[in-house]
Amino acid sequence: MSLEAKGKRSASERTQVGEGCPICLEPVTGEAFLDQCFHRFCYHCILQWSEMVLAASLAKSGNPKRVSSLECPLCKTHYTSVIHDFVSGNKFRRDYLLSLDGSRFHLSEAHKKRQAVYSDQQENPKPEEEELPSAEAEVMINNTNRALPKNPKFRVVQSSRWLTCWVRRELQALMQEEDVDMVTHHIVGIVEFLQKQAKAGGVGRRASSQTAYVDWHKAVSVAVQPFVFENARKFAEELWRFLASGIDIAFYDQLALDGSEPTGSKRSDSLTSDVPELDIYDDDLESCS
Amino acid sequence: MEYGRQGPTDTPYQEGVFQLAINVPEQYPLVPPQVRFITKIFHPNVHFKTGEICLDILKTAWSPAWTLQSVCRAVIALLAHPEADSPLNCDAGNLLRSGDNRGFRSMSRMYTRLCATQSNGGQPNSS
Repeated sequence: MSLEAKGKRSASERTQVGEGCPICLEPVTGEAFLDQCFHRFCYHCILQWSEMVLAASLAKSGNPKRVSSLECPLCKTHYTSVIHDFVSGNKFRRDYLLSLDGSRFHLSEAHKKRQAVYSDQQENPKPEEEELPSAEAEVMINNTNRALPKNPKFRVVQSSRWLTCWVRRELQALMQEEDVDMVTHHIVGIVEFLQKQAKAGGVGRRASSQTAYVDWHKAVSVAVQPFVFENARKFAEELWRFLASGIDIAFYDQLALDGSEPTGSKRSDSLTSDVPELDIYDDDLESCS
Repeated sequence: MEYGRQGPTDTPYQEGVFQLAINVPEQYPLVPPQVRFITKIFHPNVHFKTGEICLDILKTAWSPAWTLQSVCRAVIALLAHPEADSPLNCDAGNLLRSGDNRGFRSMSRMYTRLCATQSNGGQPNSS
């Protein structure tokens, strides 16, 4: 209707001037953006409004699966999540109010634990981790020393039935997005390709597992970089550690948890020292499970 | 809250001043304000007796980004663009739907003169 278009225009002009939250008309507190149109609101204002729309449509339809869409108060663009606690281009929180099938998507406890693994690292960022291509190789080796098990056998050629599962969960936790199938497929494809490649040229390369790991780590981080940004290296490190351990997800989580409790921030060291010992069980595990 | 407003120009309402009763609920702006005409008006989307207004943004299409000012603008725009297909005042709606624009204009102008001009009790300003 023409009336609506008219009102909308004046409302959006108002926000462009930066006069504050279009809902409470006061300066924005707890900046929040909608995921599609990026209109800006107070976090509590937009949350209150979304909750109200959801409650109203739930009361109407009586079926939580058939909750109607949420529309931006300013431009009526549909949205499913609210982005808030925005620190930088890569660091923010995202509240899912509605998923594509109408039900809500929440990160599970396991997802949150995985997120914690990454945020621990970010609290004390290493200066060398700046994106300096020249220093990159050196950093890789530093990381490698830390991540490689004591027995430096390049185990990545081993494939794991849990690979897809693990990658999907990791991506969901890091991207705060439910539908990560495309990215999962992409990463799994690359990892499998690398595994095949390593297998094919395995004999020659195995001589230097350090270089092999550095290459593998680099390839995976580069592949995942566009999706998880600064967490790419850590992702590759964790993925490698997971694959090298050859254990299933549940066991891996348990291990990660146990490792973190006694030593706190030294978690990664304790984990790496644990992992190689488990290598003995690899073949048994694979044959029986 | 009451708001007095001159009818938009080039409409049968331009000579009148119309009073609106605006009731702002506690939950505003999450819920729309209740707006009705105090001054009698002959318009397809306004109830002739109660002054109730049929306007989507006051009901289902409400958005918290609307303000009282934009609501008043929308009401004024509604006066200029009657929507004959969802009438609250069937007589006015039927006149428009049957294409009798002249009849509609003269009826609404008559009611504007009778009920909404200063000499007949219409108030020029908000109180």
